Amino acid sequence: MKKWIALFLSAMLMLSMLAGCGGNTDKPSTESNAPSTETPDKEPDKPEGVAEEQVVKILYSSEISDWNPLHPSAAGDWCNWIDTLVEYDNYGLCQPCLAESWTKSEDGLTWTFKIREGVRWQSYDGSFYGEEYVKAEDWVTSAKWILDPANTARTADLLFDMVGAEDYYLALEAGQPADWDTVGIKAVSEYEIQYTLTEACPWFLSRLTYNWGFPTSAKFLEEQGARFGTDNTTILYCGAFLCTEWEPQSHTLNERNPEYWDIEDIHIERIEQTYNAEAAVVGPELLLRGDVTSAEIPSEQIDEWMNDPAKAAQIRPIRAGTYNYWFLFNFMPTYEEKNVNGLQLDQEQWLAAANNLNFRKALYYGVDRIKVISIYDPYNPEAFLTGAITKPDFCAAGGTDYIYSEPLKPYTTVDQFQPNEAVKYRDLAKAELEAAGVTLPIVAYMPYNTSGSDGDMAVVVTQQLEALLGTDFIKFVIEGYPTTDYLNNCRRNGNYSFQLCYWGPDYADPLTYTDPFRLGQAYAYLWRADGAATQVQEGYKGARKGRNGWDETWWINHNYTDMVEEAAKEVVDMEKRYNALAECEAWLLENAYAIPIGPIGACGYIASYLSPFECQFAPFGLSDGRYKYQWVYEKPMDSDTYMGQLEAWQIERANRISAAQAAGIDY
Amino acid sequence: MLKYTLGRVGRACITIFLVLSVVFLLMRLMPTDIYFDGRTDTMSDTVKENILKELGLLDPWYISLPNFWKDLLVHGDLGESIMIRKGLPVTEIMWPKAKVSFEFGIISLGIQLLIGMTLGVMMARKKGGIVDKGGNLYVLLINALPQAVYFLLIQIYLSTWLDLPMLFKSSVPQSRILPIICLSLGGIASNAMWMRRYMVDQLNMDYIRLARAKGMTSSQVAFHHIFRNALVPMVQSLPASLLFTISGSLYVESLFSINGMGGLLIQSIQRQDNTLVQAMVLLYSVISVAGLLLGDLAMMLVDPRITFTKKGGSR
Repeated sequence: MKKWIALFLSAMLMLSMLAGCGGNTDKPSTESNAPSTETPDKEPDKPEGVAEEQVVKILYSSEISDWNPLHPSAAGDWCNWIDTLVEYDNYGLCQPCLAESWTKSEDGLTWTFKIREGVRWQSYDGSFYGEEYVKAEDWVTSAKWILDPANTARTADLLFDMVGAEDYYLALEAGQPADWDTVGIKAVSEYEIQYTLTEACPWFLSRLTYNWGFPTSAKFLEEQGARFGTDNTTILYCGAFLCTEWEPQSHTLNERNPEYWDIEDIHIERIEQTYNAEAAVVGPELLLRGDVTSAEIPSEQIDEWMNDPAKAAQIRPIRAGTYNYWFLFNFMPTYEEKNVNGLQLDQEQWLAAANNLNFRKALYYGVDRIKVISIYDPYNPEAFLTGAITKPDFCAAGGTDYIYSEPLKPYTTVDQFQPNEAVKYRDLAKAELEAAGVTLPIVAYMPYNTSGSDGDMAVVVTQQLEALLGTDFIKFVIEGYPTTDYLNNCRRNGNYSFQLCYWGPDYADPLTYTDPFRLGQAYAYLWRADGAATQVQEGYKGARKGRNGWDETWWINHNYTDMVEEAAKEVVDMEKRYNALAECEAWLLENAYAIPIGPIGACGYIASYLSPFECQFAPFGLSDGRYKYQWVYEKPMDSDTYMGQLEAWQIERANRISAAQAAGIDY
Repeated sequence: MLKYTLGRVGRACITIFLVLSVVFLLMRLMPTDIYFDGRTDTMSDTVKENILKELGLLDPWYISLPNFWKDLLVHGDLGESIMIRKGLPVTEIMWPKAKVSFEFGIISLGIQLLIGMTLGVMMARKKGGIVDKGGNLYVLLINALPQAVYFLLIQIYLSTWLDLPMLFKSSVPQSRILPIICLSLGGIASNAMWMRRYMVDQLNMDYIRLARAKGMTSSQVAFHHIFRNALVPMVQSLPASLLFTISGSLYVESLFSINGMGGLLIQSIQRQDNTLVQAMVLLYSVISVAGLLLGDLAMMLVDPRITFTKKGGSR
């Protein structure tokens, strides 16, 4: 019997091998169109400890779903396949990429980029795409495609900063004739592309690193038709890597592009990616076996890794993410006024409390930030603690990180968890609220996302505040909501009193972090705070309303919005601009409208043979997904090395930004 | 029989029509944020509205639903993916994956039937013996332990002991062994358990005692009478099992990096790829209905006493 079973199994295996499916790996003959396959002439200076084999092997659990580089706004691998006009170096300074240089007009409205000559379009297999070179017209092709409503590009509105772009889009959408000549995107010569903005944007360069900044060959686009951007073979390449193999939910192979214009900075030869929906579970084991070069350590395995010296030496903290987190007080509560375990939720009561400065300050000084962060990273919570609304390492002026500039220093250099202050403000608030006839305790409604550790966080922070401030002053009702549509159910529609919110930057300017607090965004509805703005009728001159249809009322003269718009008028002197915007942020903190925690979205540990400090650094756009400049090392970086290198990197970054500013260079 | 089959097919078509229509409408009740690529808070309202309009999500149901059926029935068009692989016909997403799942599924099904039924027969023939006890313990363990636990143990430890790759790679034949083992374990237990149960039931029948009294050997009784009759209820589920091999296994495929159909339905629902969800629901509905129908027909072939006409009596 055993023999028969063995024979049957062998036969089945043979059959399955014969039937094995082929991938997209056949390379067509390129003949005269073939590029050279030689390695770069100049051997780059290798840092110490670099591995012999420069191959990145990783697991990925999120499959690329949209191969069209112009369509989505989400991050993807395109940045390794297609270059943009500019890119960011590993210190976060803007550098020339496909644009060799650029100029801007005195009024800051017109930007002209000189395109690098001699860069050729290539197919996925490395063969040249006819005699097509990357030229200025390729950016016009991209913009035209994106601004055609029929293509539903997710970044179309990012182009609305350009003269005539929105009108062009709206005309096409309405089925009316649209004239491209009215749009401020022009190929002024074969190798010069010009953008004309509606208003001066000091951060314009950072906008160019989004998908809409990719060039597109018009000939190829037309040739492919509806098949354009549906897999690795239906896009053209001009970047550092070629996606030579791709099998959906199986594997992806990226190989160094031997024809890349900056080949000397590309040290990694291959990036082998294997799809695995359980990557978080099996990744660490595969790393120990040497089968992958990078794996995040799941929170449930952290203790095991930390307690084993051999394993602990292979892990380091994950670099802080791009989203910064803070607790917010809601000024437009919409939750149901229900009774939960004897606690009555009352919108009016909450509004009375939220509008009381001393109440907000009691919570501002009362939240134990380290306890909150410890839920996400119990081993190194201090590293993520941030006293500002803007994330650290985002921008700098005069050699100082923005969050440590003079206006923000009082909030970012001193631990804002001050129990004595919290109790002092509680007593003041108690007296004021009771005098105003408000029934205590204040019942605050705090929803949380049931995925991840937010539930633990909600329990910890509410228990800690109730213990510190007393349950006769504040009581929390916490409730979990599923992750699907969480933001619409709990934040945007005002279904909360107090909850953890976050924001990530869209461009390289602190103005981006003012968005959640300005008139319009569905976050805390600050314009509805007592005396913050004036409500008017629809049609009133200059009146604005909330976005996304959650708040349909119209408002003018919102104090914070006006303050920010005034500060943002400075577009030449960056130090002055940043200082003015920092004043606005300090005003929010002084009035305790937000309780900053830190960039805890990406807390945790990773074992990786790559150095995070060699990677392009930009908390916006697509630059930070590039493998350019990076090396694979012989062993993973440990925590001590990471912390040491992080400090050195921060100092060097501030100095480089300072030098660029002093030289008047756009960075 | 033709009348019976046509009747079943007709009723199946109505069921499929209702299921697909309900799924179509339910998918359009889902939130739309996912179509804004995480830019809900920053994307302009004009662009958002245009995206939803182009996806057909702003049309009222009495326009979109008939359009969907018209495209499907008149043009045979299942549509293009809107999220999982934007712009690609859904059939081009499903078939390559179904092929991979089928390869693994058919091998595993063969192993399940061969080993499971053999084990079941051996357990029934030596009831109370060492094989029966060992088999029962195996069935108990497989049913009691969570699959996620023993799949992970197999992946980590068996791969070390047998020096096999942890993940599947189509170019490495031996990387198929562990996932096939994982796929087969549950089916072996189930087949062994049911085969043993049906055979033990038959063992106590009068006709078996008669056969023995007539002098038939134990093996003759076991294979000519008991096995054949015990096989009848097992055969009914075989077509459905065979067809459902293309649906793959969610966890095994996820764990071993197999690009099969396993997680596709869940993934397409999570990503709100409406066209893909509809196509997969259609496929699975057809498979379910066809599996049941073929199961009934297979039973009739195996046991001529079973007939679907009134003359022969109904089941």
